[in-house]
Amino acid sequence: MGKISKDVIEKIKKSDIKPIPKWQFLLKDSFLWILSVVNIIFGSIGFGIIIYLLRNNDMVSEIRLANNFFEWIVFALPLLWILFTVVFLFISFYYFKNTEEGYRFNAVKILLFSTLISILFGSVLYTSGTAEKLNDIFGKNVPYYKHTMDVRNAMWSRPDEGFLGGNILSIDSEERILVLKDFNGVQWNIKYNNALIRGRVSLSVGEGIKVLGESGEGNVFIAKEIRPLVGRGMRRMQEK
Amino acid sequence: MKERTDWQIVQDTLDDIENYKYIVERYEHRLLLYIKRILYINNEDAQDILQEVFIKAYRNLNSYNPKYKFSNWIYRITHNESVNFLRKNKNLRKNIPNDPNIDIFETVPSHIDIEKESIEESDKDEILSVISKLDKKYKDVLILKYLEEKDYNEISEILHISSGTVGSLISRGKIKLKNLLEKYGKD
Repeated sequence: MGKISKDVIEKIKKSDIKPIPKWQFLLKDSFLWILSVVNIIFGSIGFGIIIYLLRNNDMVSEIRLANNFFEWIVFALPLLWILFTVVFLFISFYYFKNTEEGYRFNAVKILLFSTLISILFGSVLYTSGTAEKLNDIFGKNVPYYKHTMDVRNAMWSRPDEGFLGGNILSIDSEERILVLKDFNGVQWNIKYNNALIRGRVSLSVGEGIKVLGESGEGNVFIAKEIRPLVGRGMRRMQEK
Repeated sequence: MKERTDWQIVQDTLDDIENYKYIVERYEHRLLLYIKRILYINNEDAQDILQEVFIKAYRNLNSYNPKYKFSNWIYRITHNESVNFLRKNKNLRKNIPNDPNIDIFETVPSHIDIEKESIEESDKDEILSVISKLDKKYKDVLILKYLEEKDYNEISEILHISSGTVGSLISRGKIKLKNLLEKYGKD
């Protein structure tokens, strides 16, 4: 036996070193795979909610209405979701790269692949209505998320500046006047005969809407544009 | 009698540690040389690292996947141990002079053809002195390619980088190496 091999074997015996069991390596690799897949799922959820918020909210024009940075962040909620989605995808990439075979794949290809998967599953989550349900759940259970909704309400509680939001109490479609209960409980007569009514708005009792226009005498508001609230989750929160 | 494969010895070692000596004896010389090549250190330090390599390899023997070459697996452990040694001994880097005009180039013939798949045995020590002056990322791949004579897939398995990255590092490293040889090599 050579000197090195003798020294190595002696040291192994003396220190009672044993090979790490195979299951531990399998477990570690499985764990990395699971973390990678879980982050792709989070990315997909993020993407689904992005589509939902973008399709149910006029984000670009609302960002312009923001008074300060915090409001800007609130109105840019889908942007935060975009950020979350990107972070999830990078975490997924990191774990995948650390799997036994991960290094073999080109980094750009992995990121593109996981992004495509997230877009695909995110679209499925959106079309199946799951993204909306998840947005509702976040709205009800995540403190910050709920707070962003409150700030959104405050944003649409400025009739003097031309922003009014709330729920429809009654509609007179002949006179084209509706009664709106705003977020502070105040009732308004909204004249909407010359208003642009966005396609997703359903003018029916109980529906949550946002109105852009001018405040008139008494509690009269002349609508120039009527938009839907973010979605059902938002409306349910208002009803509460 | 037909020589046992590395995988057979690995399995036998898991049953009886005495079989591990066959692995050690099969790899000790080339791994020792590899350590010295990547770290530029004396024989004693290299032997200490090598001992750690074999102990670590034994501890992780169950993580070896027979789908790949055992030699690449143990080269990877050696590479990682060498990187750890370098981290712990940061001053070691300073031992490799950075001035490109220093004496090592006095001994390097500029005729060495790095476009060839392999380098003449007699030129290896000389080219190593030039490779050592390159950035670590180029040094790692060029040592494996020219001095250890590994192909792209093997280098990919040892360094855990994609073979595409190996290809681009080798090609950029070759340009840098060529420039150094042309500029400072001795006619």
